Amino acid sequence: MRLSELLDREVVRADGRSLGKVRDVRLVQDGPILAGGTQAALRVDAVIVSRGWRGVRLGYLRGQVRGPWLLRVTFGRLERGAHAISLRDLVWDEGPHLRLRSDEPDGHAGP
Amino acid sequence: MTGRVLYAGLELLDHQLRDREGRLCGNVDDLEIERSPDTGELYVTAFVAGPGALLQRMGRRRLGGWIERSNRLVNDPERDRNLIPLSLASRLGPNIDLAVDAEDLATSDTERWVRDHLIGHLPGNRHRAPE
Amino acid sequence: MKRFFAVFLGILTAIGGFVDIGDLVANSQTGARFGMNLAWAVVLGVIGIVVYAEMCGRVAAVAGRPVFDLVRERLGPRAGLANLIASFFINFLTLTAEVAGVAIALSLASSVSYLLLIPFVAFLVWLVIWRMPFETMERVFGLLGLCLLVFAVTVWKVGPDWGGLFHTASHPQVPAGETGFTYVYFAIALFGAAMTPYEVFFFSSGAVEEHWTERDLATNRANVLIGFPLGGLLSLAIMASADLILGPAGIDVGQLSQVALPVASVLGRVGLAVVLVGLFAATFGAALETALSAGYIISQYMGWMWGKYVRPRQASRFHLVVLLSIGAAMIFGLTRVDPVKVTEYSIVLSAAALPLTYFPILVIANDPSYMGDKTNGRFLNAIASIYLVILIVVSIITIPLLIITKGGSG
Repeated sequence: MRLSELLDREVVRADGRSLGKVRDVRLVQDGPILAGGTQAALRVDAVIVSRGWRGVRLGYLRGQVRGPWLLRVTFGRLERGAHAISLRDLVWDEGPHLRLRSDEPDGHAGP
Repeated sequence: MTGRVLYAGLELLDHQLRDREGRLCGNVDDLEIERSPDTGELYVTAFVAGPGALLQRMGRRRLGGWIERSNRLVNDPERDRNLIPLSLASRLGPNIDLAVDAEDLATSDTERWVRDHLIGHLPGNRHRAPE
Repeated sequence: MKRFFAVFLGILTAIGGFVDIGDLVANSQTGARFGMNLAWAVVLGVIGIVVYAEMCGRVAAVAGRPVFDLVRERLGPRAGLANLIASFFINFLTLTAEVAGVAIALSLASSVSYLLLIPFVAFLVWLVIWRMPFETMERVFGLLGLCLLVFAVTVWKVGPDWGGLFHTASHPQVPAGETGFTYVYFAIALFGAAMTPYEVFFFSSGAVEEHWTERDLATNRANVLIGFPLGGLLSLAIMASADLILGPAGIDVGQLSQVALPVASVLGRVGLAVVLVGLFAATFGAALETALSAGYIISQYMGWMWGKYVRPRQASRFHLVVLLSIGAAMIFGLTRVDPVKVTEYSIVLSAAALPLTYFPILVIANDPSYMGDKTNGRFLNAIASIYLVILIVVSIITIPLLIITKGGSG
């Protein structure tokens, strides 16, 4: 399946309340070295969820881009609501939503 | 967490692919993910780039799928040409460097057609303009 | 010494290449109708393009990435596509206007109808792109464009009241017979003529074509910081000559020939010959740039191989797009569409579309993972941010103004 199928998916709590949409996906390169290559396997670790705007791609959330002040303030504020939810805390069935496992509060695993 | 952390949307999707000579060979249109039968974890196994791939990502699945299938019929019905295995990547920087030639990728299919049927017939198409 | 000469040549090329049909039409029309009351808009536009081009050149030299490459990467494919469609359409309008402009310049010299010359011009534009090396192309038409300095000579020869000119320029007001709406509309037109997006697509792709590295940054800065403002002065000379000659005679600029009128009336046949060469060079050079830009932006969005620095067959799709764009512009020009009107629309819509390409460049210019330690300094960021706000405001008010003023006729 394609990673784009994860993007823009709604994430809901067990009680049905929406936590926002998937804006980005965090990958960790901690798998075994791939056969025939030099790269380690890329594991899908967590989804970045936010209620607000799609600006997560710009790079202001993780402090990668520091300026100019005007944009950092504008997008930093918009991206502030974004948080990571580990894939282990989510159930991905055939439905349109990603569902939080029922015993997790809000699935905060850090930005 | 050991291992490099990458954000798919920020650092991989829509980034430029380059072949082993540094030639431009498409943008990353999507990523293929599979569940490992051993660990149950999801892994990114391939880049997706080629005719129809971007349309599929942007929601036009039928049109994109049709374009992709038509291209496969013409070029190589055996496998999904748009998949570029992750093991072929030599570097995941702002550009994604691949250890293959652009000619072997699906992203060159339309280039080849245009070259062989149109541009290749114009006089001077082989000449490097003298510097 | 050789290096100094190269830098000097680069600056001259930048000056001569600065003016295109948009600047010619906008500055002439404004000079005739508003005198020097809108000179500040040219100054505002020149500072804007200096900031914008410096960032693009730096991003291209340090990160090796031209503008549209980054648009899809940073804004995502959907927003990038909307951006691409808008930019391509406006670029296409500009290309049509430039091709028509070349044809008109040739027709003024030869008394052949410009419509008959359009196919010939289209073919010539394609041929030069196909065969002439990139740097040669820029140099030849940039330097020939310096013939437009004849406008400055015209102004000097008239011997105007310099104090009066400066006073009007520094104390702008809406002249009698014009409304506040047309005043702002033409300010936007001048602004858009100075800050044309294709200039930036071409400039940043050209930097990659010429394989700029960090060592070329100094040359880039010289071209931009010296060449562009001097090009702006040339634009003001065009405005002043229209103010001095066309204004009092009540001549409104509705045809390209009227742009050349001040020079012809003051300097006679020699002046006319020189200005026609300048007109030809400026519009032909701009036609090359917009045709290439059409290829650049589509290829960069799609990730295709692009550029003149490889053999044409190695960038076939890129060359096909360029060829088809020139062909389509030729066809559109042959429909007898008014070249001046097309020019007006292209510069005004260019102004409205500026935030689309300016914004991603501003973000990337601040991103250390692309730029290393060459990110924007605080001073530049402050000015660049102010301009972003200006561009967004301009973008919002342009279409309403276009409708209210009925395209400037008030």
